[in-house]
Amino acid sequence: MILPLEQAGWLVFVIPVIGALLTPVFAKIHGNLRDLMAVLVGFITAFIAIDMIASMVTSPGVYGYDLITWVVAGDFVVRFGVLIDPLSVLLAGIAGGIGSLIILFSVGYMTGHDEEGRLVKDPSLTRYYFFMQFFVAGMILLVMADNLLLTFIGWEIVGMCSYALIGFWHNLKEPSPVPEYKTEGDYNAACGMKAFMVTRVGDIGLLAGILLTFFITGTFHYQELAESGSWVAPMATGLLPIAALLIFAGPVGKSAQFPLHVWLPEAMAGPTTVSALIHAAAMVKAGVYLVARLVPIFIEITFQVSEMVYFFQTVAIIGAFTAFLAATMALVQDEIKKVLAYSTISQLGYMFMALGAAGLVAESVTAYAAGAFHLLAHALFKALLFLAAGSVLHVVQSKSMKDMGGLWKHMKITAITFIIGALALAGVFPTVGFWSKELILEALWHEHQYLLFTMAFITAILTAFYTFRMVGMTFFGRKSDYLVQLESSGHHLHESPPTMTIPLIILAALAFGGALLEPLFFNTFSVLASEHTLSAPFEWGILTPFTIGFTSMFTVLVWVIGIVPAYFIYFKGNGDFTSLRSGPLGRFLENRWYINRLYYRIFVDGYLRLSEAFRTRIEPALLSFNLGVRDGMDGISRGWRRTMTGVLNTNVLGMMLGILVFLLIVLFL
Amino acid sequence: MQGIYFPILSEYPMILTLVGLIAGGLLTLLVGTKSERGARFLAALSLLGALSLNIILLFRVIDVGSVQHDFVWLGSETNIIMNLGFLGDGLSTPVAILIVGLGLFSIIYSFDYMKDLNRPGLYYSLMVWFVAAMVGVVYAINLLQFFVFYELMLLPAFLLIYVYGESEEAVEREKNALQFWVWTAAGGIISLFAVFMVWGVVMQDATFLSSLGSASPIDINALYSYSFSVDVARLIGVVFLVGFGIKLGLVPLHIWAPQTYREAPIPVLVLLSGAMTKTAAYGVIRIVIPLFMNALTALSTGLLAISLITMFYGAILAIAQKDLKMMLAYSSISQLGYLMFGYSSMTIIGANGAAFQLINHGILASLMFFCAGAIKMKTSTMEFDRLGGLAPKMPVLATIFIVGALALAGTPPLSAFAGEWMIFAGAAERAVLGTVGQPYYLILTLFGVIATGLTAGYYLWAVRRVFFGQVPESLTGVSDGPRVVILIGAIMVFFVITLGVYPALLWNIVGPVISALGLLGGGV
Repeated sequence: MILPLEQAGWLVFVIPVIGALLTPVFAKIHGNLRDLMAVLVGFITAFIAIDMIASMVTSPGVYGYDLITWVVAGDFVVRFGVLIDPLSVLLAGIAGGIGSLIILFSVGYMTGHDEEGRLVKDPSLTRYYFFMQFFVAGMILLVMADNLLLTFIGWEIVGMCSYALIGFWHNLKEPSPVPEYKTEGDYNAACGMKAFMVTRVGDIGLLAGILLTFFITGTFHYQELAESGSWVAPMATGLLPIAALLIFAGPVGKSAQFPLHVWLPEAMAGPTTVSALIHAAAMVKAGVYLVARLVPIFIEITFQVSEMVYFFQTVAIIGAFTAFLAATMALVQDEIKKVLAYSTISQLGYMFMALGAAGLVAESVTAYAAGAFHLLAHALFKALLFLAAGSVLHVVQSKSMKDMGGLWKHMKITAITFIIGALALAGVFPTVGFWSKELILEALWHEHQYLLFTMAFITAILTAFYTFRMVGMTFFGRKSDYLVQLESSGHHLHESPPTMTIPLIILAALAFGGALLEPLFFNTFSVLASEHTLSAPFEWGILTPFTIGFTSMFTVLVWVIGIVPAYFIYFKGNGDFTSLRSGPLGRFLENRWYINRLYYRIFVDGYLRLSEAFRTRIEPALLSFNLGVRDGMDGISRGWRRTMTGVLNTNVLGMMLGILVFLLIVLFL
Repeated sequence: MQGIYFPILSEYPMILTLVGLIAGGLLTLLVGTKSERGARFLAALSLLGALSLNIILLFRVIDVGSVQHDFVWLGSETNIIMNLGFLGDGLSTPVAILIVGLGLFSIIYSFDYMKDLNRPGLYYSLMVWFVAAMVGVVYAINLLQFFVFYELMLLPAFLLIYVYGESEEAVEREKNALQFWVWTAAGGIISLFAVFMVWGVVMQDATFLSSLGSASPIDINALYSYSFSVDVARLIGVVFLVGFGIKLGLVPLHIWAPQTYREAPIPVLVLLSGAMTKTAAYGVIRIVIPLFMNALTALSTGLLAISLITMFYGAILAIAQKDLKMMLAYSSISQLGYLMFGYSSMTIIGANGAAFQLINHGILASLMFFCAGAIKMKTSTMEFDRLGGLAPKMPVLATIFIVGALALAGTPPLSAFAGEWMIFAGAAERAVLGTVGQPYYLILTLFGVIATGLTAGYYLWAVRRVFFGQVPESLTGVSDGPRVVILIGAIMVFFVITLGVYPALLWNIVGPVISALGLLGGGV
């Protein structure tokens, strides 16, 4: 509205890039200036992003602007530009808006106390702010890109920043939380690398898929892909589903879906603000975005290439299974951030379930809208939960919920905001989470996807249970021995500073009343119905906001089955479950279904053993041939050298012999 | 860049470069007997001059397309047997700048790295001549001239390894230098054999000979218009590739490389790995692809498979290495497989990607070796077990190293990605649009991309072992890399980022030349 879309479309990611590049410069002047500028850049970015949403609400449409010609190689010309439509501005708004709140929160969070209790700044903050801004920029670039290749570039920037930020505290001296590493620094660095490597596995498929798609269709551009699908050449149709599934590998990695879900829990090694950014605003949302971007295009193609249905089936089933898998793992976690991490994986599963279902059912718009709206809802409440958890950790200085309990009295703002987030995560009326989850269940039930519905329903019960287990263990129940000890040693349990509580309050308001965005959300998308190719298969007009249907009864059931037991066990302290926890089921869940361990056996230990075998057996065998040649040549030259005596007699003798041989040859041959 | 024109300098930059480097090397040798500082100064000055001349040439090329000088070398004006000539165009000039630039950096780097030099004049003059010979390869306009320089560059390289190798014992140095000589010379001879085969074929074609005008029969440009029969083209193409493959170090022809890389001191290693192997890669794009592409298309899957084996073999061995230098050496072998992968797809986009990657890898491999050398200068070791936690101690060097590592792992927006995606796109194009063997190409494409994952694996693990975690007791006093290294690293990182963000900068110069080459393709 204020800024024309044509400029806003690229400024929104260029500004945080510039901000990131200038961070070291500001840091040279003064540490506080650097922090201030980071916050300022964050808010300018957020302003532009939200301004774009406003433009989109007032004049909906799909706008594309070319920026540069990136590569010219023979007939291949790759142009980069931005694509502005409701989906891209929604994601940019989430990344910019929540990103800015997280950067503001960082100003308070990334300080600590030194041994004498004074406030100190974390020493490597320049690096921190550089990557935070670059992270936001990468995410926005990814969603604003008008073609797959540029999206991939943003995608990898996000991956690179996550690597740097998860391993941010790479030289901590404290003992490592797991026995495999010597210090916590080693552990953090390993976690950063793990995140990069596991997501890279998905990226391999993504890049291969993008390249195949390019040659099948002749374009990287979303809009050209969406246009009619007339390019689907008969000879290449067999490859299209393969290309689509390869592309889906990218979102599976980035959005931590089974079988590449293993990196996200370890990503908790970074600062909590980083976790918030990864889980709520950026990174894991990238995968959902890409699928949401491609689903309408692929639905169109399904009319010509019926095998494309495999793509949608895969997306839906992987989503449903992951939702369940991660929810079971969340039941037994003792670290507050780990619970949140597994809940993210699980909630992302919901989104994929809905988006995949969109391609399987007749009335695809409900499922698609449900998936997209849950994306927004999750961004709001998960950012809130992470930052509130960060506020708790900042005070308690321990990650384990066993070291908490009874914090309600000491930090009311944090507690209330956290509970609002928890209600949204559990899907309790009237928070935003209720409406989005309701929409998903409704879409699945209505379209007779009973298998998916059952998975979603069971997962919802588990979610309600573990969420309130977390609330109970953190804020209610008996105060832990650790806290009592902390207090008696003179540490005062207190509420966090305003730079931390203000973002919490804003986010809590959004998580509570976010459902009011629903009409706006549907209206903006609805104008796009059929006339614009990128959302051609959807009739947004038939959607009504605030649906309450038959399935709402199930939702009430979820609260009863999920929250009530959690209340009695963790708020009131009834029951003893130590035997269940240490039994086979408990161990199975605690070891994450042994999936992680299996991967390490094969892909880390196995690979290293293979490479060691190459180094000690195969390479020496090859090189021994070379050493033979080397020593042989050396021997020959040494032997030959012996004839070069420099003694006149020998030389003359040699000459005479040579002439003799020559003469014999000439005379007799 | 209209209007940047210097009289004489802009007219004869290539001849002046060669003459300047040869004379500069000679002066370096003479002065070096008296003063090491004089030798350093002269060597650096020669290369700085050569670099400036090539930049002038680049401006000229941007203006007029290409610059060429021909002299009759053998025969007469009416019956030319061989020309001596120099060609500067959008492809040769950037490669020449890369080589001369790396030469300059290596020499400046040697000021710090090569302490207590035995006969400094010899060392610096050999470095200058090594660069001169490589530049001669790049400028060559005919096949024989190409091979004269191609063999000439082995002389200084051999002596540098033999005299200045890192082994204490002279016998060991001698053996390693000798095996380097044997293998690479053999590679050269095999390629030379292919040259004679070309000569033999074209000399029988009277119509072709009469159409030559002022060109000799083995002028590369003239040959572009000659159509080889498919069988002949395939045979000659394969012989060429075997020859170039040895120098590129394609597995299993790589066996000379590990010993050589182990022996060579860092500045020499930079020239070997960053520049010398690139002359072979340049030979492929300049000679093999344009002349024999169509005929070799049938062998594309096999060549891709060999490239893949090289990529995987290098990567798997890299992660098993116990010290940084050897890890980088195997990484270099693996990365050269990428170049061949791009060529092997026999597509325009693949060849483009490989040509771009040629320059990228030249920069990146050298950058990593420079960093490793700087770590050795400060800690006097390159063994992973004895390193660790250096990031807070040497923040700038760590940043440079990590940028290089991520770039080599194919992470956008750094330069290698811009080349790598096109390299893989070549195979993907065959998988989709090709007429035969589509499933194979699909699998090959996928495995090609997987190799970037392995690369990320060993580089990030190296970063963790060298820079993260706790500093060993013995290294607590370490400080950031020498200023010269930081400066060189910063300049190279600048190029890595610039070319990654906006590759069209280079592509606008290189692209047209390759499109013109690629469309010819020979072999009907």
